[in-house]
Amino acid sequence: MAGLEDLKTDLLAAIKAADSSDALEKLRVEALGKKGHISAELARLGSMPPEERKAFGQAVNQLKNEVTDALAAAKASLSQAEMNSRLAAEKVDVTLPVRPESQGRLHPLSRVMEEIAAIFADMGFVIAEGPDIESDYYNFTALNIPPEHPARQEHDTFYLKAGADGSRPVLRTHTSPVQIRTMQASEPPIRIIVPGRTYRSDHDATHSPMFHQCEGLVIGPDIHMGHLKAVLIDFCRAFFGMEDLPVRFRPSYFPFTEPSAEVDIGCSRAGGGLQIGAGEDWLEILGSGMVNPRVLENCGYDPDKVQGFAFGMGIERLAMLKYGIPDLRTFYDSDMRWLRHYGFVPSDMPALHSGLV
Amino acid sequence: MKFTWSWLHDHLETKQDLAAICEALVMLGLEVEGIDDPAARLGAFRVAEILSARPHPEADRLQLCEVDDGSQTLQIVCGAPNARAGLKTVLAPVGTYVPGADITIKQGKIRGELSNGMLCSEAELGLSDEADGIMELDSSLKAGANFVEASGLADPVIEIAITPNRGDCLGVRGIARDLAAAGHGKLKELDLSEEAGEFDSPISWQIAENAADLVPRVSGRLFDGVSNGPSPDWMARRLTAVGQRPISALVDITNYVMLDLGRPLHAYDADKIAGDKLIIRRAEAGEELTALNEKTYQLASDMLVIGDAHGADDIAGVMGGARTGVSETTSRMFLEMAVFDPISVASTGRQLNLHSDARYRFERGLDGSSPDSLAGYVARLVQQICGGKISRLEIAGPGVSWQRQIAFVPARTAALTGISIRPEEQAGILERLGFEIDRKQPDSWQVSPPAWRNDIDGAADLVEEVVRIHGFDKLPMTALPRDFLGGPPRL
Repeated sequence: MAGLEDLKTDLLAAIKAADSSDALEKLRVEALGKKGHISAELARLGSMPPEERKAFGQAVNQLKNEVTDALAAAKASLSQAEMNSRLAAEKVDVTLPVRPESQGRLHPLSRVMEEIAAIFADMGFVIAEGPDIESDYYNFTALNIPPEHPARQEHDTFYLKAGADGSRPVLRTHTSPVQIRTMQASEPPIRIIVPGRTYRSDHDATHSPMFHQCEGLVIGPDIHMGHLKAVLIDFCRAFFGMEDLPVRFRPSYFPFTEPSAEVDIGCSRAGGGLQIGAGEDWLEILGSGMVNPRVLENCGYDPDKVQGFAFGMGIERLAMLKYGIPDLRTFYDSDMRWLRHYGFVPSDMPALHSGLV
Repeated sequence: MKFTWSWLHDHLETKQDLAAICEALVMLGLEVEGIDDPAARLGAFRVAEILSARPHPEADRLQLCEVDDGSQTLQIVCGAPNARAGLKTVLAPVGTYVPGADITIKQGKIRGELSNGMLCSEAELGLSDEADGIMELDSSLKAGANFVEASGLADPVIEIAITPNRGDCLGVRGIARDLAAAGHGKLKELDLSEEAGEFDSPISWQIAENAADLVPRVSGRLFDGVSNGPSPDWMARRLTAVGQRPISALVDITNYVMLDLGRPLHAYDADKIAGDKLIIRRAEAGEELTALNEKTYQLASDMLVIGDAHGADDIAGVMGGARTGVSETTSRMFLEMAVFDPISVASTGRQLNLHSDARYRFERGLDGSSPDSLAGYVARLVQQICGGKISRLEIAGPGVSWQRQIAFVPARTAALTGISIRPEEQAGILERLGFEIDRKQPDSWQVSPPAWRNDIDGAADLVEEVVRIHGFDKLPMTALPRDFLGGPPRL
């Protein structure tokens, strides 16, 4: 029996000294495993005289229970300690500021389109779209630009391969075809803007074969040129953020409007730079006019019953003027340095109430 | 389209200054693209007289000139071979910017001799390419006088952009008419009386059956015994100012009338025409001709040409031919005034990649009455400059059907633009622009556009004319109604 007392003392001391789960597991196998010390003691029962067997069996079982309990207690306290040390090691200060992350930038053209949309949305306009590949009819004929019209020569059109019917589709030279598509598909009143890509076969320092325009169309029973003037003056002043920006309307010509007007904004070229605002000079910024009765007829409208106005502007030009971008070609260079400099944080969406400048 | 300030005054009686007229042009839709005022650009140059010229001691090709600038005598080193005592020439005083040489004159020493200014060639002033010597001015000019004013160059050049609908403003008179209609002066009368002529033209027109649809009207007449030579100074000066090179009086007259009245003309040397007929027809496929630009063009069967017994020698409305064109020795000229189908002219020009001032005007549409109405005026101009006898007018074609009536309700102007303009005022504007109005029914007029306004299509065009002349600056600002319910439903 004295051997059991020694074994107990040794095992309990070893368990107390164990400093990790692994060490504890090793001790458990040494004590309780099939070839362990306690199993070896139990194996001796068979060879004992029956009178000793009962007392020894009770003693070994008690030892086994004590060691099992000691192992469980030690394991619990060790895992608590390990958890505590892990918690200490992996402690996070949630009050620290987030790490800086690299963020994309919105292209100035996207930004300007959003700004235009924000201003016109406030006046009740909705956005309409149309295809980039257009039929000759929508791009020209329906807009009162018949074949051989001098205005057609000025468009530098990209023609595509002729279709089965012999007509040649074009890459739309302006966003105006969407006027026709909208009028054919819906009844007045209409108030739309059409931002989108346009194409002309022209490539130099101030022309790109692909560029962007925004068209506008307002149709109703009694929309007149005074409305056109108010809408476009409001737009120019809101876009450039100048309440007193001078805006001038002068007669011009577009086949799809009659009367037609070019819209100029005031500027100054004093000192070599270009400054938008009151000044001695004017800068052409958009074209506009009352929708030509021929165009209304082409859309199935009666020009005696409905009328309206249309306008169109170049988005690159507006972006260059507003954000001081000197070179048109850089818009399409995909140069990350340029984009970081001229781009906009995407979460900063333009809204009239927060100001557009 | 370029013209000069004095040229405009041939047609417009006005007291307004250059700046006011240019502002008015912009507000009429005739966008001013540039104003070049030689008086401002070359105002520092003076008339000077060379008193003496002697060889430069240190240089074979230079001379030392004593020059009278009107107030003092200056020593100037000059390299021009024609510098000589007694010559009146142009002086750039010290401090003057010389545009043709892109230098500012400084006092300095040239090979050791003092030079107080520069005597100039036409090239150095940017007036022409003439660089062989210094300018030789009229000896009656006074030393010290402002060169630009003294030599009649003080005539500002105005350049305007013409929209494709305003073919009538591709002549100075059309521009003056717009200005007068808007109250910026009075349109001067032009003597449009007919000129009977003294004899039958020995050359007549023949319009081929296959071309009848493309030639609504053509007129022509022979000028016998004309003397060709340099055109008069006033005409040469104006043509030069607007960028045309003076060639000879007969050629210059055709260019001048084109720029003055928007009426292209073509001058044939009648002695070079084979036979007694000018035949207007479609070209034969593969037919060739050498045009006035000395390039040979191969023609297609849809192109309109004018030819004689020898073959085609004029691409109708685009460019005349070299074989029958006028020269310095021409004494019998046949002058063509035609109206051709604008689409045909445009298509021919595009296929041949041939641009000309005539084509530009033909394809934008000419005054349909002009082959008849301007014939007398043009004949008198030719006779006045080149002399000779005028034949009777030779006319072919049924005439351009430019007459039409447009129903117009004066209240439409306010409905479409928001500006109320009294009917009398609207009628006045249209009449000053050359429209005729039948006002028997006060609320429903019948308006006849003039022959030169091919662009007027309907009532909306008449509204534009009225409001354009009245002034776009008077348009009201009317806010769009806020109760708009169009478009898809929104939140």
